[in-house]
Amino acid sequence: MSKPASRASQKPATSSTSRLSNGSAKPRDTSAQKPNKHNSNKKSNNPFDEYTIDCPPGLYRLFLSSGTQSNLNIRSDEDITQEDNFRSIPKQAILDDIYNKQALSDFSPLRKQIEEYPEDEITLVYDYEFQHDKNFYICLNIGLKELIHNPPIVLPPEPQKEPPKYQPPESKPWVSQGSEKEIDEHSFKDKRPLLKFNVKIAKESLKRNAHFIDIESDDKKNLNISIQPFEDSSFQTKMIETEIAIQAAPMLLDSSAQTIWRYPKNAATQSEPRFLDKKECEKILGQEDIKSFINQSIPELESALQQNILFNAFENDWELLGDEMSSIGGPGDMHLKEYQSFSDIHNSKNKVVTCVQWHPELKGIVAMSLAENFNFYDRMDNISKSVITPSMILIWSFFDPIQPKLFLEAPDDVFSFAFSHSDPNIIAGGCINGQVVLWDISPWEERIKNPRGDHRDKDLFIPGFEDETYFQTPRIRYCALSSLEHGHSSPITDIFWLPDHFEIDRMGFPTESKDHKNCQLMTAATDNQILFWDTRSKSANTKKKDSDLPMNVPDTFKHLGNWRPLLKVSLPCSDPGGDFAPTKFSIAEKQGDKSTIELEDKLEIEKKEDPNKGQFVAGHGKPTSGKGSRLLQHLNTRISVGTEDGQYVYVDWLPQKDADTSKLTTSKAEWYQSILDGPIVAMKRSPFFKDIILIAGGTGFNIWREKVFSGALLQTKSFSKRICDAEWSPTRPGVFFIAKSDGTVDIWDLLDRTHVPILTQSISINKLTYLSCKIVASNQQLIALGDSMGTLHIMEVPWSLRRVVSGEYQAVKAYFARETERRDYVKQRWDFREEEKREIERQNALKAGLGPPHIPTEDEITFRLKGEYNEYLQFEAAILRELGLRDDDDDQPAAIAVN
Amino acid sequence: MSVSEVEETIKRITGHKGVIGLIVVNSEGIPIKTTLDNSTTVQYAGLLHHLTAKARSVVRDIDPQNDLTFLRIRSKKHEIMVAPDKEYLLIVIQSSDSNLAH
Repeated sequence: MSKPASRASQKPATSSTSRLSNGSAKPRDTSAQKPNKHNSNKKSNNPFDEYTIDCPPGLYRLFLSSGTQSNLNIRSDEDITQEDNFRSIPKQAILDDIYNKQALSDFSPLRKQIEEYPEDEITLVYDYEFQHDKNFYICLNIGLKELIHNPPIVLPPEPQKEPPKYQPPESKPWVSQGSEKEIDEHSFKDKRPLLKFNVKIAKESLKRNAHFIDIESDDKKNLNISIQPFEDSSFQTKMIETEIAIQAAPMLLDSSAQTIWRYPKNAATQSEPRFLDKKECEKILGQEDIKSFINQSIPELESALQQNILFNAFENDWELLGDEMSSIGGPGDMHLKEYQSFSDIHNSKNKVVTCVQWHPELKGIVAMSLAENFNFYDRMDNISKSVITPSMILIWSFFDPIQPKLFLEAPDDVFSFAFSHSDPNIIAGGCINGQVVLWDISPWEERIKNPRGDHRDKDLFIPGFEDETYFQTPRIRYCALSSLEHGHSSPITDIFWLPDHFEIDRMGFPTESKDHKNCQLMTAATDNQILFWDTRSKSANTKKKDSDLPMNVPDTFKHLGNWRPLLKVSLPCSDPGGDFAPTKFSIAEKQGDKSTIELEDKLEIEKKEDPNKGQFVAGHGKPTSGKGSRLLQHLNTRISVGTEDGQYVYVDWLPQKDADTSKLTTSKAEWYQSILDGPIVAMKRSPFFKDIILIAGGTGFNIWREKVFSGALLQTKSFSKRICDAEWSPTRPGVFFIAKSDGTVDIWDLLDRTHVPILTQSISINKLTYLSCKIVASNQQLIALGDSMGTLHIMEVPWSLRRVVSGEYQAVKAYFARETERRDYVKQRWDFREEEKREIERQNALKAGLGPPHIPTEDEITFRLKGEYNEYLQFEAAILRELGLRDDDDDQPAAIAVN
Repeated sequence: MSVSEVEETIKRITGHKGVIGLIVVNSEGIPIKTTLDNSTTVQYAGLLHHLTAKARSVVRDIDPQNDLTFLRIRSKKHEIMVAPDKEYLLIVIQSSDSNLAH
């Protein structure tokens, strides 16, 4: 209460603000912080604190119980509320309360202050928030009381300062800055007064009627001008700005670095396998662990070994299944089906087909040669006639069975001919007069290549421009003819083009041919000769202006001129019966089979590796071909020849120097034997086995192995009919065909039966003369058969005869091997028998007393001879000594040791 | 002695039908006992030693609990049988012609 009045004057402001804020004491606390803090610091230990805490001086907190409240009618929340939170209570009532309750009165602690209070009414303020556990304030300060009763009026906020007043700008006089001149320049002003015109149309012109006419718009009269659009260069805009795309791509540079290998040094490492020496091995073997290891592994190993023997788990059942397929297709299927038959009405009457050849490349082209069916005497009688009707080779195409495609004219009847494999347009033929003829059909190649070049091609030509010669079969004259004097002097029976991988020179040495062209021929004729011919020009100078060739003949072989053979192989024979007259021959080399060359290559490589092996010295010098092609040393230069008398001759074509005459002649035949009872008509090598030859002639055929001379592998008994031709099947190793003189074909299968054919089929009523097989397509095989009436039959081989039976090759190979062994065995037996016979003879001679008592063995003979020689040496030494030519103390001639 | 026992067993195996040869190789690939000539032995030993190691590693890579017990290589002409062990290899070569039961 003894507070300075200045503080009290300060308070109204603060307490008024507190009053305003809903009786919350907090603003009051914060605003009155300074004085309160002051108070609380001073009176910290005063027990009176609880009543004055956080209160301005003169204001005390009190707790009034509900009884006191009801007595004074200030029950909380009923009489006195939060908003209406003060009452003036008469002082006396409070004092009464104090007097009545004394110490129990709620007002008792403030008794003194209350008594000192000057006024009559004391203000009590309700504290809704029950701060400090007191729910009432008692105001004992008059100033505060006044404030409580008359809270100061909240004045409205002070009006803000007025914004500055808007003053509109004062107008000033205009100052010229020069802009009126510009405006004058750009403004439009009339420079002169506007003129007025009055326009009138003259009345006369209005009265005239208009006449309209039509005019053609014609360029020539220039009535109209057309204005074409044109590019005005003034409007061309130059594009200074363009859109370009740029892509960043990595620059690729190729760069390489090379190390300089200045000092090449060869370096090699060699390693040797390690070995343990014997003692160590034995030591290891003696150890226990290896014993147990082996004992452990043995059972498994044994079971595996036995398994393998018992059963082949890896058998390919699928492959072996093929065997059963052979049973499908009964005998009816093994029939040669007639495919086509060729016969030329004009030319083939009464003519014999002497030879049939298939075109090596083109399908469906077959050639046959015709000859008169005369024997010698008839031929002589008709010799004049044969000059007029020329002999021909007909070339047929399958698409036209009536008209042949080409006629090849020959000087005389052709008995055999052959297509050249490397160039099928060249055909070589051998005539009855011993001449070799060459045709070149390349200008007419189109005719045979084009399958249907016949009357059906009428549409090719415009009517009126037809080429009449187109529909006639052209007759082609021969290109070259061999010399009559130097060639054969009797009919050429066989002709053969040498395979293109080798060629022979004048000495007969075979060299490797680099051009791979068939350029050499072999011919055989019954004049005991086999000749080699070369179709290439010998001299480099071929610029002969020979105009003696008739028109239409290609000049491929013009260089041959008077064509002479390259090499003559004669077949002399010392036996009575004369020399051998070859009818057919066969050499080991086959067209397309380059195994000899490969063998040469291999051996050359081997030779180079091993310098110890000797070099072959060519007996007669270097190879003849200028290109340095090498000599083929391993080529079999022997020919197997079949003769007119049914003999099989094996002769070497390389000429040898004859000792007596020192001329190069063919040596005697290495071997020959009479095997058949008629001229050999066929000598064919098996396409699967290089050295198996089928020889047919007379009434039987044989199969021989080339170097096995003791006997034939297979010999058949004589048939009733003569055999005319034989041929192996091109796909099945054990099958071959025999053509007979009664017009039948026999089909033999070596695996099935070897004593009879498996099938005999009659083809024609006439004698069959020639047989040739050809594989036309993978599923078609054809046989061409020529007969003695000029008809060519083409038969198709059935599937069962075409398809290879599984294991057939092996079986046939084994069969031939067996037969060869048999021959060996037979030979052995012969030798043995020979020996025996000699023994018996000797015995007989001994018994007869004629033979010598003791046949010296070889050792004894040697012993005797050595003894004789020693004696001679002694004798010689003695004589020389006598003559004085040798001194006594010269060493004795060494006696040959006699053991 | 144990050496002769081992010899006996080996003789028995080599006397089996079709067996061409037998080789015992140690862990380093050096042949200890063989019935073939030196060069062939060395070749077989060296090559099969590597192959067995590879085969064993294949089996064990797939299943580490597993191990190679036997190896058989069949070819057109022969069958090679290898019995491996921790330290040794027993190699037997049998020709295939005996395989054909018929």
